[in-house]
Amino acid sequence: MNHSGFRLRLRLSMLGAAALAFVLPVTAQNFNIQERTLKNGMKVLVQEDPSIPNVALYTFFRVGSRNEHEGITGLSHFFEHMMFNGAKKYGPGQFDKAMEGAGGNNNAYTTNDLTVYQDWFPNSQLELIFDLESDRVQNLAFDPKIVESERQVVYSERRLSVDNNNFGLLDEQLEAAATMAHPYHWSVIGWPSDIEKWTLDDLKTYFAKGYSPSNATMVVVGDVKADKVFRLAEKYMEPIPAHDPPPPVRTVEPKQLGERRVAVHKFAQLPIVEIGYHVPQAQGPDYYTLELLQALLTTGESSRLYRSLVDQQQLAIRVHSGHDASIDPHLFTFTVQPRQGVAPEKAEQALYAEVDKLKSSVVDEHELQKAKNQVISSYYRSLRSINRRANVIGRYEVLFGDYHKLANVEQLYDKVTAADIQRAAKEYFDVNNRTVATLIPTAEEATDKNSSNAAEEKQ
Amino acid sequence: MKHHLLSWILSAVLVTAMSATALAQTTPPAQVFQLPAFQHVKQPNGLTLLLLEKHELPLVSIDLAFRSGSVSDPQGKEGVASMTASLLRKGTATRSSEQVSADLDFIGMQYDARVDQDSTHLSADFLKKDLDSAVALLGDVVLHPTFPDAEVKKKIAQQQDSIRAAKDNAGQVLQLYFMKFLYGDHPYGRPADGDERSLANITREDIASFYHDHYTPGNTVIAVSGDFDSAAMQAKISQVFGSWSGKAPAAKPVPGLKTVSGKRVLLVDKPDATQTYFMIGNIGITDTNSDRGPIDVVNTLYGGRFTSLFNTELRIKSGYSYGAFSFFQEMHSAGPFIMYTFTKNATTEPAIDKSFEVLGRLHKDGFTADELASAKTYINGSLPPQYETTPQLAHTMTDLELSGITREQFNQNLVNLQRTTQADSHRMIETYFPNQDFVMVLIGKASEIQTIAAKYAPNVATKKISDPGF
Repeated sequence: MNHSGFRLRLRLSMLGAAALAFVLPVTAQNFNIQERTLKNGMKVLVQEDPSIPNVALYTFFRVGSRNEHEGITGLSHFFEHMMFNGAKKYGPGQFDKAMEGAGGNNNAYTTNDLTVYQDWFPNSQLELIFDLESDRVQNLAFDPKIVESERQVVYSERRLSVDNNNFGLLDEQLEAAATMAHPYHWSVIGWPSDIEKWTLDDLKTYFAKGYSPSNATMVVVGDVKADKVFRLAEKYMEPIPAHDPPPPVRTVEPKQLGERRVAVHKFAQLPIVEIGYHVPQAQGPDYYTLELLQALLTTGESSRLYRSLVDQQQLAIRVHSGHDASIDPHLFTFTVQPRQGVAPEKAEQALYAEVDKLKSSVVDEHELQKAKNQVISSYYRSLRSINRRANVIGRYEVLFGDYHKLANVEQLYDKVTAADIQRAAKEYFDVNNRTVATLIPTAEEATDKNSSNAAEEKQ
Repeated sequence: MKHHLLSWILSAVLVTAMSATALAQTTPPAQVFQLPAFQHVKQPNGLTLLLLEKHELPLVSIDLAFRSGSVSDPQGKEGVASMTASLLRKGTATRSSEQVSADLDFIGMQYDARVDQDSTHLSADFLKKDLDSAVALLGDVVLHPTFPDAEVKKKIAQQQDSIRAAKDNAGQVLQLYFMKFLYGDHPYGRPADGDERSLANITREDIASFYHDHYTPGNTVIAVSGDFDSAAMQAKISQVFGSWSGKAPAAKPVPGLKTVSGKRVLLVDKPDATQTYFMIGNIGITDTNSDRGPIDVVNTLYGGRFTSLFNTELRIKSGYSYGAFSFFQEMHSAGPFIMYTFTKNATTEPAIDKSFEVLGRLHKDGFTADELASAKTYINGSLPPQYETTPQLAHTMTDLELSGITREQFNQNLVNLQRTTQADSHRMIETYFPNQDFVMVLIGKASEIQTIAAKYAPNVATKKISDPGF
């Protein structure tokens, strides 16, 4: 019943990004991860932790919306759904029924880069979970009736998270305008016409490309013995043949040569401004510097943008920033919701004024230390549950290239200097590298004639 | 996500609901979940302190709760309790608002203030090494807030805009409309965070007066979980909160409510909606209801998990919706029972019909013994992760204390839940799940769904989403 906690941006990659935003090791030995690579190429990572009698088992497939193309946008996310709809041993509905009946639970999420399946269950059910997972990876069924029904479910999810969510809608427009050539151009959930029209053949081709154990990493955290996990992985996952990985994504986004602006006119009470700047990928330069820039600008009520825009000038009700750890270069975004009666441009200019201060003068050591303390404490929070830890370990392995890098993260944050902050602010937060999307509220009367709904009904 | 919303709703509900669970009858789990023992200390000034050490990570979580919530708001000034809680950090006798924020952020502390109908919760989460400064900060905002007039005005204006912004997303405000329509003039019908008009009536004096009456040690429960030594923590809390005085406010009993009879429908027009969001329900149960274990088993099967009857019909079989859920929100007086889903404009009618059809099937068919066993196993397996982290444990301890439930009673409820028989389940369905009488609230595009709404009740109340209030 409280409004203050709701999310600014609704992106499918949000859950993962939130967990990964603050990764620092407590001490290297706390991770104590054992690994085994199966003959088909699948890597299995295990962290034994008996603190609760449960297990988190995450499977990270290196396939996401960046592996799609026009006509099949959203298909990775659709597979996220189809993987629950029946295989050979466990038919339609049986996967969830068996798991829930055994005291387990599951979910999944898709990002631009990954499709991730999450199982949470009592440790006594480990073998059942392997049986369920191997069945769907090896023998997924493609029943045309179920495909049609799930298409509707996914479109309903799109209406929920994009079409009827102003933040989601604006973000989709921003991404598409900022990224012209690279597949980050389209949203993870996919364009509406693709959701309605992808074919059974599209599905089968795509499944064969992306969803093989050879293209996956499994992370198991909880009250298990690594030897037992490896034995079950060898029994259930190793016999599944390796496939060729999805073809490499060749397209590199060309350098942006000037500001781009997008407007969305729709019925709303309050406007929104979202601003995106191209920044490097997770394994590129400045990932940690950008995380600290985010903390300096928008984490907590002492952050520069909160103080200036929300508190002192009272131009906005909220301001948020962030960037996802991604395989290819992507965006650092700012989202501002102006107060009623404040012109979006005014809030936008106020934001630039604050960001420019980071370029013109060096942040003092106390403020930089504050930002470091914020990311370090949040990092500890990200290790609190076996679920979140499985996610952090897996994302480090697949997005940063090696889970061992977790051991160095604290030093990498420590190394970031005030000069680095200034250089990165100048380099990335440049007007020619900028795309701005603005949601401009229209009056109620205009809505019936000019609604997105009318467009949907015609399709 | 496959069913992100479901997990979100369930976790939100389970935090407030203490109705957790049991064992499967057929294959008892190796470990039966029991809430661990915690220390219960009554301070001389009336403050209740609850302590549970947990040393895996160098973190400490505090949940500081007051036994007063929005039902204590003066009539016409809904939002006073909420504004009071959120203004605590906006200036103290020795720190400006900006200084409080600077000090909180420098130690990377997470701090939040939330108000519901029955209570106020402040949460603080910080590193063990910062314990002294964190507890001092929490003490400062609780004991010495000054509520500067400029900050009060600013916060109220921001909250009014936050409500307007929330109304741009139907899913965020649907339950507020539902509560108002179901409870009417009952205190639970009043919005806990106020509305556009009620907030305008609130003055600094209202805030100061609410603070004076309700922020007293006898009205306060502090729960701490994490990496600390209990004796040292007790001394630390005494040092910071020991000289605090003031008497607890007179108890303000919230009247009970019987279920609403008849069929009542409210349609809120959101002209840009391409999807209709709706809730169907009636008055449910209190947080101390002795049947809440068996009720949890039945609701798990009805609308509480992915394979539930409701989600199976609205999502899995028909594709009408991304998700369909039901839950009992347990409150000090009877909270609501709610069925919630959403569907595109064109399938609004069959989706509502299907929702009533599954409610009819619940009453007609009930659940089999196998299904009950599956639900019990499911609930039991889901318990440990719900009481795994220190913020979860701190919040659980204050909730139990505020509801007057002991740990022994909590654990006993898990046993009762496990003993749910088929006869019990029939009794739960007849007693607690609505049948012919219901309240339904829809947010959607009225020009397309108005005639559909009229099918379900003799009179349909209507509102525009941009109208102030709920």
